[in-house]
Amino acid sequence: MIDGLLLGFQVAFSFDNLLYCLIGVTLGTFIGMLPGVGPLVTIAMLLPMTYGLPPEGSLIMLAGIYYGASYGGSSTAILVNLPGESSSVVTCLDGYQMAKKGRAGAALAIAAIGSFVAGCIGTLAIALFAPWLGRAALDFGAAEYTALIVMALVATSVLVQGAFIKGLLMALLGILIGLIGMDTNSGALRYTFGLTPLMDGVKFVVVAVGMFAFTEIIMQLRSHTAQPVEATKVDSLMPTREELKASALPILRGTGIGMFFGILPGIGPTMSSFASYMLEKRVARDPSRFGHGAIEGVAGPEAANNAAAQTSFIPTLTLGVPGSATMALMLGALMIQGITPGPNVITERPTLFWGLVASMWIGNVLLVILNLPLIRLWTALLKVPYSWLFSLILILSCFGIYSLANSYSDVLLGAFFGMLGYLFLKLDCSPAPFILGLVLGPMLEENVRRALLISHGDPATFIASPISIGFLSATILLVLWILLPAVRRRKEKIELETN
Amino acid sequence: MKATRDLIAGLVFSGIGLAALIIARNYPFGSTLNMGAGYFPVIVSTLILIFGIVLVIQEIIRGNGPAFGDIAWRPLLIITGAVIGFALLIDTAGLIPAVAFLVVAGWFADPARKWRHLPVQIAIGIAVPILIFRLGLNMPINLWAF
Repeated sequence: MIDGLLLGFQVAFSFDNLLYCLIGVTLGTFIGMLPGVGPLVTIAMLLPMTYGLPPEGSLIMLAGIYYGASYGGSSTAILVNLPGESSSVVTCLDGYQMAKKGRAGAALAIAAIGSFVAGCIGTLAIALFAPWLGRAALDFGAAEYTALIVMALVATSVLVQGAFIKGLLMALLGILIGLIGMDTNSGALRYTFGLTPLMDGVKFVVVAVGMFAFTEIIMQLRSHTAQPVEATKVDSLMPTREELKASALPILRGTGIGMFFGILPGIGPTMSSFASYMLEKRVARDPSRFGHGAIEGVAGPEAANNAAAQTSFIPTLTLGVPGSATMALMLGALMIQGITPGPNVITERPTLFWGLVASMWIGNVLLVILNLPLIRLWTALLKVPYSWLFSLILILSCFGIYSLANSYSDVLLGAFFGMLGYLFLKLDCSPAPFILGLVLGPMLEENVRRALLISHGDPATFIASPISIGFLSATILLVLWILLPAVRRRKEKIELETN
Repeated sequence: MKATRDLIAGLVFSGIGLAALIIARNYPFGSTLNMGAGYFPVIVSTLILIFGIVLVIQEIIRGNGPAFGDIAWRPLLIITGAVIGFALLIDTAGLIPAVAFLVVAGWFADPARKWRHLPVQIAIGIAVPILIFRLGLNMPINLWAF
């Protein structure tokens, strides 16, 4: 592991890769700060800019964009009560209250410090556990992969806002859309309706940009006014000694929770920030302060979602199974670079893997030294009116899709998925399981087919090994747990409080 | 019977599931041992159909969900049209006309639009992709095809 980390830092400290990391973090924060633009849209928009880079540089820059955008999202959550993504919803609760009390600077600083601590420990965790998981994954056969993918899909469906059954339906629909095109096994064309552009299948960047960027613009344009959002002033960045002391344990607890949830596919940052918030509220001496600007409510969840963001790279890289829509985008970027993630990626591409691990840590350092001093500059971005922003987002999104294959039909498809995304929004159906289904669908079919072929058609193969029994029983437990009336009421209550 | 979100969602999903199932029956099904091109689509579309129907029944029994509606037609149609226009223009007319169309069309969807902002928005809109994609990434995109 030490050799690996040394190799990683050698790669990451090369001038080019440091530069890519810096550009990624800066661009990510820049765009992530813009109101109404979450990490997913940011990555989808900036993805084409990484095509020309070598694989290491490309992934390092994307990871930088990811952290930057997540941090930008937390800042808007604190300053204007607008979460950039679902994992910073919790940060709004107490972060914005702190800002209203004139402690915006302290909240931002604690969020950055919490993320940094979590990032450091998370990076170490990846260096320790990823090679181990990679070796364990070598024992995974098709049946185990099938069980794992089913777990990822069901977990995502269960944990999204709204009804479980709708999450499941969205995941299934994503799988169905993923079937479009030529069947890799038999060469048969499926669901192409005679349209040539559909023969290659639907690219997931097209769907992601359509359903997140276009849909978001349509939604924002209905309600926005000429007035830019009112951002709270940031005065002193220094947290008081009491605030630092109160945050120390929540940060460590949040890191632990985040690292654990991040490794589980389909659960990731959102769930971990909720879990951390609940835990802090429970262990607090005076829980009534929560929701009125308790610094623990910022420190814990921020550390948790950053730790989870880090460790969610573990299943993505070593198993090739992304745990969230954002990770699915990262996986897609890898595939564009011609890399198939899987257990062998660590041994076959050591420079890529360890370079990424090292640059994760560097990215976290850059975030702290870049964001805290520049926070006033970043908050100025919040004053940009949406009228100016959306046309730029629109242009970058269109080019993002077009530059995938210089194909105008991809852009047409993007427009279609923008409309579809808006319809699903109006039906309270979350797009996250849909995207995951789209990415994991082909993998699922391939693994089911292979597992059944190996077992001579005996479906009992899916419960033949302890690993797959483990994944499947975890899936069933999760479903049962969420269907428990008490848990359901609590989930609805959290959604009510955070909406 | 109210047109609630869950009811519409259930109907939409069951419709999609049914259509996909009918289409999938044309593909060779194969056997469990050797799955054909239709095996997986049949399973997936059947599940969509079943869960879609469950959603409909659930909503008929409860029937108190939030109502469907309140569609922002103007931005929905204009933004979709703007993107379609961009798609049709980018190869045939080039980057500058395609982006100009996108910005102008999108401008009409903005409730806070101002005439005096439009020329600047077009200029920025054209400059940014040229800087990033033509000069930065060396992508071979035609600026002006006429």
